[in-house]
Amino acid sequence: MEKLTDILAGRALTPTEEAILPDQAARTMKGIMEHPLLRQDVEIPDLVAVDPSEDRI
Amino acid sequence: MSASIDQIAAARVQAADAEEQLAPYLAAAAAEPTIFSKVEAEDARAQARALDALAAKGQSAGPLHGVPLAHKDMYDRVGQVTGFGAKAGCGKLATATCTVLARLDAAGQVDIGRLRMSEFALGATGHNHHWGIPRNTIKPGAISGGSSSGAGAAVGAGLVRAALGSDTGGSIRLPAACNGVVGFKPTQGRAPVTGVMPLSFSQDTIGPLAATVAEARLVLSIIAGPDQIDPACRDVAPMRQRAKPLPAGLRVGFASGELLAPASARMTAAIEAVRSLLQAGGHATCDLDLDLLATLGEAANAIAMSEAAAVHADRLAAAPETYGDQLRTRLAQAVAIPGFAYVRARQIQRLARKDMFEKVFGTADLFIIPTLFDVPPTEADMNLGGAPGAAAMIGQLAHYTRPISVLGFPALSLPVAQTPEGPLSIQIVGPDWSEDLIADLGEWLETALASTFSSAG
Repeated sequence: MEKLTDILAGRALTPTEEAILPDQAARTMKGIMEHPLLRQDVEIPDLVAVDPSEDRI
Repeated sequence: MSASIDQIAAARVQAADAEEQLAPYLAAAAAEPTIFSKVEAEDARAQARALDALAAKGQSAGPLHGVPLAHKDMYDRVGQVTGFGAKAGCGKLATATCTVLARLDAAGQVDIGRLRMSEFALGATGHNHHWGIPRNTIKPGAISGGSSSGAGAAVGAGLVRAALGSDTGGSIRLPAACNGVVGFKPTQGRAPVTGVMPLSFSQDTIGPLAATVAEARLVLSIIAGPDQIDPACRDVAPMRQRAKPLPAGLRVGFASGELLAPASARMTAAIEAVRSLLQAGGHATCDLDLDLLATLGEAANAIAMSEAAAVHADRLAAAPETYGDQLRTRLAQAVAIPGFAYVRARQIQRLARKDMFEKVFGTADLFIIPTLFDVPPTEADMNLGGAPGAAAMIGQLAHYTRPISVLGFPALSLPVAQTPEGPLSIQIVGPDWSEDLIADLGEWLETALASTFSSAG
C-alpha cells in the first residue's frame, strides 16, 4: 500500500500538480465539515462542555 | 439524416433496406475521428442484415428497427474493445454485451460505433489528454462538454438521432447543453449499469442524449428496468414511451435566491421566457428557495472522487503513467478526503434529499434551473489539464448539475434559446421516478418554443 499511497498522495505528480492539492483538499473538507445541514442532524450532536475536574470520560 | 427515430424505423420495416441505408451513416461517422473512437462497420452491417431478414417477413424488431445509433465508449459489447477514453492499448476486450445495449439491440437499433469521451468519464469540458476534444457542432471553438463529449457532438452533428452517455456529475447534461441537444439523466437506479464502466457507485447513471425530447424518452424507456444483476437498479413502474398532456394543476418552480447569481443575464432572461410560456399556457409557476443546491458541490465531489479512487486505485498504483495529468490530479484528491469526511458527505446527501422533499417538492412538482451558467465556454479557456484552477473550473462548469447528481434526482437538459455565441439550456428537475412528467413538460416546452421561434421568424 505504500506505493499506492505515495501515488495518490501526489508524489507521482509534477510539482505544479502537487501544489494544487492542499487548496483543493481544504476547500473540500470545509465544504463538508462546515455544511449547515450537518448541524441539524441528530447523528452529529453538539458536544457538551464538561468540567474537567469532574473526572469524567 | 434529419428524419426522426419513428420515421426511420417505419421506413426500414417497410422497405427492408436497413443495410443499404446504413452506408451514408458509416461514411459520415468515419469522417469524424474526433467524435467516433471506432466505427464498427462490420458488426453494424450484420445487425442490419438480420433486421432486413425480419422485415422481409413483415416483422419489426421494435421501435428502433434499423435506426443507426452510437454510444459512449464505455459500454461492453461482446467481441469489441471498450476503450473508456483511456490511453491507446488500455481498453478491454468485452466477453459479454451489457444489459442496456442488449435491450437497444432487441428493440432494433443498429449500433454503428463507439463515441469519444473524457478519460474514464472524469471531465466536464470534453478535453481528453490522449485524444483531444470533439468539435463543438453548433459553435466552433466552444467546448463539446464532457464526459459524454462524443455523444453530444454526434447528436449535434446529426450523425445519429440518439446516443447513450453516462452522468455522474453532469456528463450527459453538459455535452447536451454545449451541443444544443437534449440530455436525459434518469433517477439513480432507473437503468442497470451491468457491463458499463463504473466511476462512482452511488452517483452513476446512464441515459440518452438525443435530437428531441420524444427520442430521448423513447431510448430511456427501452433501457430502463432491473436486470436481476445490478442490485442498485430498482423495480419501479416502467416509463411511458409516448407523451401525455400535462396534468391540470401542474406546479413548476423557479429559483429565486442566490443560486442564480453565477448565471449570465441572457441565461436568466431565457429562464424567465420559459416561465412566461408556462404561464401563458395556463400552468402555475412559483418561486423556490433552491440555495441549498449551491452548498452541495463539495459533498458531491468528495463522494465521486472517493468512489472513483476506489475504482482506479490498483491501476493507478501499477501504471500511473497511463493516466492523463488532470485525471491523475483529480484522483489524487481522494487521499485528502478521510473516511469520516466521506461518511459526512453521505450524511449531507441524505439530509439534503430529505430537505428537498419537504421544502421543494411539497410546493412544486418540478423545478427549472440552468444547465450551464451561460453559453458553452471556449476550448482554449477550459484547457487547463492538471494545472492550478482546473478543479475549481470544473466545479464552476458543473455548478448546476453536480447537486442534482448527488441528490439522485432525474433531470432533462433542454435547449431553449440560440444566441450568436451558442445555445442556452435549462434543466427540468423532479423527484425520484418523475421521468414521465419531466419528459411531458420537456415535449410541451419544445413545441411551445418552436412555435415561438416560427412566429418570431
